[in-house]
Amino acid sequence: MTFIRRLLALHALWVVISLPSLPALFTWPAEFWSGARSNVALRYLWVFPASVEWILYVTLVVALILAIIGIAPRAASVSAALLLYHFTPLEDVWIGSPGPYMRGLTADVLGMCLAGCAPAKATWPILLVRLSVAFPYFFSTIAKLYTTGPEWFAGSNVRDMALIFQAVGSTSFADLVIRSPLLAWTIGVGWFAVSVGMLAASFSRRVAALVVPAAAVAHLAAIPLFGVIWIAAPLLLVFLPLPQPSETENSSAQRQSA
Amino acid sequence: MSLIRLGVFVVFAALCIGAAAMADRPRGRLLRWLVTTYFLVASAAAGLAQRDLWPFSGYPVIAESSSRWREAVWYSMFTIESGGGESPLAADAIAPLRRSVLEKWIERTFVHLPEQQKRRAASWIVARANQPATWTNVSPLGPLSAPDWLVRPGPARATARGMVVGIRVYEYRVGGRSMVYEYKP
Repeated sequence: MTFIRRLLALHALWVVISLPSLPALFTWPAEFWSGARSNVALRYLWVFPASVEWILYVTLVVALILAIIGIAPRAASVSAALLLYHFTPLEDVWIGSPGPYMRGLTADVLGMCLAGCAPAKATWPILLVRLSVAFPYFFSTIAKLYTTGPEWFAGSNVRDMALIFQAVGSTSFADLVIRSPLLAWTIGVGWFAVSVGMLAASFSRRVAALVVPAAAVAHLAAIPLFGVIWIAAPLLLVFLPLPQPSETENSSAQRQSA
Repeated sequence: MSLIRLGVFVVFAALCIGAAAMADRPRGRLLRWLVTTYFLVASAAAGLAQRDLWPFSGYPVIAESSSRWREAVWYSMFTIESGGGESPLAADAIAPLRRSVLEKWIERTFVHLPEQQKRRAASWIVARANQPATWTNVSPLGPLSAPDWLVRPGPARATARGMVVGIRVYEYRVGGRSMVYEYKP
């Protein structure tokens, strides 16, 4: 669990430090806030003066560093989770987004909570952290099936999506998808398999060995083909096969007897 | 509803804290079971019923069909320089806001604002574009910073401070673009 806690904290710290002045958004003119839903401040506890928000943001950075280096890791992890919950949705509420999904920190919020309550040698929190990384893949597929149906994964829809991203100017390589029905179908069917397979990858090392590298390749390919960057992609490392506590104990016992 | 959504997360965090505090006690096992069950039930409620219970997530991201791609509309903001030229708004002029968020904000909010509010927001952006870059709008990680989720063309930093005299907002469609707003005090 130590590796996973450090990975989650390091990933969250990367995103947080990349936005060093995020609390400044609290002081931006009311015009920017006019698109936010009512009562959103209550949901994310945005009830403090701006100066307190800055102190909380620095506290978040300190908590993440403590979680990485292992000083008071439980308290640091839970504190970081609560503060990530507080700050992560800050940009997205302005645009009526259904949630801060593209900020890359959703699994970190749940994962840091779990890291805070996990006994050192327990395996169940590792499973739950893996599920918190896998659920976005799986439930986004559910959302696509609800909203559009299985045809979302058809080659024609993938091609149309590439046309949109090309028109927006986020990619120069969308032509590869637009001109190749085979590639478009491979992406559609492959993404469906990866999204559903991620759930099984949480439970099976064999499935993880197959699906997780495929997901990593898909995320890398999405950058030139669609201009889309999955900021939570580094969290795929939570699926690395970790030695079970019993295995660690056995190997250290063997070393001692040798 | 906001309180319920807040409560869903607060209960989870409280259970995690309780499980940590009671890790070595007999009740610790019950709390661990509760954390696991709660995590699974809340995740399933958000994901299967597609309810907004973030950070338990339904993830309704780009779930729509793209078949109507020809009807796509998006916006972009440009700065007007004192020489009359224009260039895409530099990323550091709106930091920590990401370009993708600014453009969505233009679409969802800015173009619908009354004229007076539009002018107030525009003049504020012009003032920001003319401010010198400080640590508050430049990531210390430089090119290693966490990127915006959508790759968008445009400069990271403004080239000439103090030269921005206004802004223009363009509406883009697949066939071309048209100016929908100009601010030049």
